[in-house]
Amino acid sequence: MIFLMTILYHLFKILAHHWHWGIRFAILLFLLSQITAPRLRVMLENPPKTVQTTQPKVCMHTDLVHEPPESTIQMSLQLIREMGAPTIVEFFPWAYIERSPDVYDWHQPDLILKHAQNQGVRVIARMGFVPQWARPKDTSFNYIDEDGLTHFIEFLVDFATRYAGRIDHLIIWNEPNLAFEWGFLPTDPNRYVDMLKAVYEPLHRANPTITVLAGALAPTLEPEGSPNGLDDLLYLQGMYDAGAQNYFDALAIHTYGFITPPETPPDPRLLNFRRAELIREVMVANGDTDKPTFITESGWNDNPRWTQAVRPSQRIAYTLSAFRIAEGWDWADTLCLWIFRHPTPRNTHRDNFTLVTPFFQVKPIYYAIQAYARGFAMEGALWLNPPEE
Amino acid sequence: MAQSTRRIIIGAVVVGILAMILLPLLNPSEKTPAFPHGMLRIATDTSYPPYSRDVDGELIGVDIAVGRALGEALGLPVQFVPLGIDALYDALKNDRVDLIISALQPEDIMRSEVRYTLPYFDDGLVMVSNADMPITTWQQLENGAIAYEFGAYADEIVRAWSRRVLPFDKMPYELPEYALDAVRLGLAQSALLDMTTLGLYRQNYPDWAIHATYITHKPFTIAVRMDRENTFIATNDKLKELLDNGTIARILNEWMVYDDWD
Repeated sequence: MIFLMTILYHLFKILAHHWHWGIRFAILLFLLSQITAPRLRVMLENPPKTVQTTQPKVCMHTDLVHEPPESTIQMSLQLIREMGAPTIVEFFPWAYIERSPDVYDWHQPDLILKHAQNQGVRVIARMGFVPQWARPKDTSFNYIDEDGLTHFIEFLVDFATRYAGRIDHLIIWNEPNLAFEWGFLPTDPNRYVDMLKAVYEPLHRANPTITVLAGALAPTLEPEGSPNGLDDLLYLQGMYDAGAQNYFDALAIHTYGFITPPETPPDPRLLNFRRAELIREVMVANGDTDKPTFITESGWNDNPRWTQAVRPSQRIAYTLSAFRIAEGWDWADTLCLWIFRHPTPRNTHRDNFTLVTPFFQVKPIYYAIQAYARGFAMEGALWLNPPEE
Repeated sequence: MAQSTRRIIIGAVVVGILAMILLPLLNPSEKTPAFPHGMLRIATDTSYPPYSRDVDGELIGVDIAVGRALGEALGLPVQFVPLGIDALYDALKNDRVDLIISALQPEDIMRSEVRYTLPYFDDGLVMVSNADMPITTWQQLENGAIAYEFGAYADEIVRAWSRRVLPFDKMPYELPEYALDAVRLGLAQSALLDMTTLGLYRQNYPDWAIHATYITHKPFTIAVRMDRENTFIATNDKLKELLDNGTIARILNEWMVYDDWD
């Protein structure tokens, strides 16, 4: 500390006697601070690309909104196109775009849309994430009250209008049957249906060709009265009981395999891949036979230690089987895997859901899905037989 | 500009800089006890064996044993709070717990809110070879064979090496244990896999003499809230004692065969 004070004392003396040089030095420092690395120019593909695929249901959930450089947005979408996936689901957080009331920053969604179009990839938009200015202090970003809902509708209408013809599928909220995703308030299908009722007509006026998707419910077995959430099958029935039917055009579904193979039969007391069939049964039972669904999150995890994960070889086999099962689901428009890539390592089992690393190292599962989607033959065995003693 | 005005302005700048340096030293957190609740409250994700697991209501594993050893060293009772991984940091931030011990790697985006202690284990990838033919240099890989688990992190590393290291044979197996079998049986010169898998495998082959070299690092540390400096200092100091006096190594050896390959 004494050393530091001595330096500051001498600095003070020098500046007092040579203040002209001090000002020049400050100007030099300012100019040097303005020097930045040249921005990488990103060229669009000309002519624009189209996705070559034999499996149009193959879809990826992406995390492009957190990609700072344009080049990695393009690289991710190129890889997705080359894999044979014609659709992505991307989250467009309200708080990122409307940082203060009526002040919009469309830069990132514009970039994503520009490159998605250039690669021929369709975008399904997931909407949510309440800005601080639109909710009470000390509430979470998933908390929305009546005032907040009014602002949310305005934002959704602006979003739908701006991207009409480029984004025609909007998912309203995410997993509202979890307390965490509902601002730590008790989960209540009635309140979520109120949101659907409020947004449905304005969105159709903004974009007459829009498909409004009810938010996917989290696969969970939480019973009535649980502080954590509510069983997705019960919650969906609750939505119908609250009169949701005429206020969504399609349903988003989340269905994870966890540690079971995709063929495992559905069971209301089990969380597995074919739980999507039970969700569908609730829809049919409520007269929504012709209403489509979009599976917007699915997949298996291959972390070596997590108890809800499988081995990488199983993950590949299960994922391909799941796609084949979904081929027979005429009620499912897409089967999207969580998640294509994270921009930075998460250092947890979340990294083991990805197909491509933050450093663009492509994992074997990517090539397996590519072979399936594009009809390539996979040559030879993927691994050796176990060594014998 | 008059010389006196200049001196006032420059003086104000110097005082400002000094204030910025000195004020944090007067932080009231200094006066806060390290563990104000009189116990050590630890968040852990019990879905991660052999580190943390709930077996019929009983919590077991390396992290649980480390937490108990810390409590003993600090003279405090220990309370574990089992949570999902998504809730660990929230619990710390909201003062529901004092520490997170949960096979936790430091996350850069959390560093403004959380301090991380010394690592108590490194679960990075290790290159394993037989002790009588240890692989210690890149040159030794040439024309040799590396065994690994297909699709795992080791697979990514081997694919990257195959583009820039001298030629070698790739031997992917369905399971990492098969890769170790291949080395043990002399079919491959080396295997690449994580330290935990190696430690668990060696429980079945305690007499197998190996050489291992870390290729990547994956440090497991303990997280403490940024504004709880005394908690951090007390925890880090006691953890260092436990590392130095061999307690941590003893705990690890209860769950796997562990050698300090550093």
